[in-house]
Amino acid sequence: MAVSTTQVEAREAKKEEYERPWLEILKRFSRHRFAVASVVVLFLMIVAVTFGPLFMPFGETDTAVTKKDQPPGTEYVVPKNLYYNSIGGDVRTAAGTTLTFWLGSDGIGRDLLTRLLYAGRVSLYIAVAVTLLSELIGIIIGVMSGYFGGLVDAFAMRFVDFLNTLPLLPILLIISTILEPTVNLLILILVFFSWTGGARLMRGQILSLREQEYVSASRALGASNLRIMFRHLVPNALAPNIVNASLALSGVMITEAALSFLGFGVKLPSASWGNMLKGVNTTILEKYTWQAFFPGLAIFICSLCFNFIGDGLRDALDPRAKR
Amino acid sequence: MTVYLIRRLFQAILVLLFSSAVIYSLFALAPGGPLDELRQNTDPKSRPSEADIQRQAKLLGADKPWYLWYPTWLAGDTWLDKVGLEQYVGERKGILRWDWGTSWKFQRNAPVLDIIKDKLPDTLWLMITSTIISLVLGIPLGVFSAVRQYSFFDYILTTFSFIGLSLPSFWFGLLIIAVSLWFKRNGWFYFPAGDILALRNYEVPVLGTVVAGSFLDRVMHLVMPVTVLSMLNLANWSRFMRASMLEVLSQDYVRTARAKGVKERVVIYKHAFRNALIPLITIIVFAIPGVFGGALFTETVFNYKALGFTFISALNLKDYPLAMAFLLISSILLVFATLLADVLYTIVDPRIRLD
Repeated sequence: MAVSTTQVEAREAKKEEYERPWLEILKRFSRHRFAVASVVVLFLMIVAVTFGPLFMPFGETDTAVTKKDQPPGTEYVVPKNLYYNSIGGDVRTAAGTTLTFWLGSDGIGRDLLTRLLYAGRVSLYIAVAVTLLSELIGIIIGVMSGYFGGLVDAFAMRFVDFLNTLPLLPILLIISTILEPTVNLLILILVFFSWTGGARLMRGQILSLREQEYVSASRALGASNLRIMFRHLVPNALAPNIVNASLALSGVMITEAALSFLGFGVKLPSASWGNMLKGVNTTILEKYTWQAFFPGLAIFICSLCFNFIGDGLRDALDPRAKR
Repeated sequence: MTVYLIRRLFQAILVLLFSSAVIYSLFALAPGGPLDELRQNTDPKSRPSEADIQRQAKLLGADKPWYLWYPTWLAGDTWLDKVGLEQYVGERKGILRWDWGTSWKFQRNAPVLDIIKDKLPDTLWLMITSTIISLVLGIPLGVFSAVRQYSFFDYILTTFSFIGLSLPSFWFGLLIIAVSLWFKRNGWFYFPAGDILALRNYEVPVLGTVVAGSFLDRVMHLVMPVTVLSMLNLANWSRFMRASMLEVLSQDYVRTARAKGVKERVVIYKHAFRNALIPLITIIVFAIPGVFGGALFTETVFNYKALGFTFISALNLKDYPLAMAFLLISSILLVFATLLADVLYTIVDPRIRLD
């Protein structure tokens, strides 16, 4: 009969969903339209900053001395060959080619779009590296602290409390003044101050999970502590940390941009979206607004995408939580 | 409760001592210093001799080896001869005896505390105004969108708060300065950018002449930085309020109140709203240390020369006593706020017990 066939089909479909939880998560994620759009936008931005510079006619530090502060769309005839790097090699753009500053040029005649792409590499690299590292450290410390409890827990949590009583921004500024960090050192500094959130989340999850029967079961089967922690507990406790990480990406990106903007983060001549805004003054704001507009817009779009993706992931991974 | 408070206070003091020691020692690693500039002077007429530099170093307290910097800062250097370091004895009393030291560079030899006292009122103006505006707008917005969850208004507010969270505040500041400059150029009404008060009277359409240093002048200069700060807080706080209100509205006692026929208005404003305000304690209390550290970027963007601006300048000038004082005050305020939040929770919510 027709009715019974549909019932059987329905049951089978449900079974399939149950067996493939990732499909279910993907389905719930795709219901958040902003989050899906953000994934697309972010993907395009990552592709652009990764491969874009290879196809740009200008290099990161090539200057057009006669074309300072040009508005977007200005055309420029290259007076001499531009090379792939400053010490020569292959010709990037031959002399006499007419090029366009699609987003204008900056105060010393560098192409803004080119700078923006190179800067994006640095900014995105910092945001992703800081978040991944601090989540990794946070998860490891959180698991240990929640699983072993006792002295380990007390020590770890006192340290977390200690870090949380430090005023973050002033401390970051002071440390950058003292150490004058390179990009990688900057990442380590930011990681040092941002792993605590992930650790707390993980610890909370583990505290409730470690009392469950499957943990006792695997312990009875002779599983080692390491195996219980990282094979059984972590995968089950990961969801809040994933959401936390994607929201943290936006925070890290803005913090890095703000530090670089004040001259305490990524140092010139390498560009980051934050330090491209460094030295913006009323003259630039009044006459060459594009120089201040586009780098900030890039930060804004990226961090908006991270926030929306985080929100979408929260809907997808934790269906009980209301927005 | 008393025992708990004493224990917490003790912990807080340890944290402060430890963190300030670590940071002050880090200063010793820093390249450059206030005396480098004197050495770099190549003009033969004004070039200071080595003796001058030494004298200056002694005056600033920079002649000591790095491991004595922190003890000196903490406890002064009047007692150093008792531990066999006669050559470093000076007249400093140390922070424990309320001697905050003198500025190295920002305003050379001015007491740090005087500089902070001088700048504090302007920061308070900025932070208190923006905190009040954000609370007055943020609470109703959050409550309203929680009551009308998933309505059109709710979506607008959620989107707005996402934008607010993602907007780098310094860039937002730059943008509204650009807009005000554009308005000014077109001869329309504008708000002046930069500084706390104008140096001389200026003309603004509609309002006419604004007298420099008047209250109106101060308000005119406050509008844009306050907008930036409030935008940031508003996005955060209205979301927070909405989440808190939703949490309360899903409680059993709210359902009971509805079931026994209490009017919806009363349910929301008497039963739910009051309890939803409890988590707001955290936000209000942590706005106190925010007064000190919160406006760093906004003050820099708007050239608003108050505390945050002074701190950034002190760091750029390597004026460590000034930077250290700023850091110490914000650490104390943060520790104090954490403690205060805990205590207030027990008062407002009897279910929470501290021990």
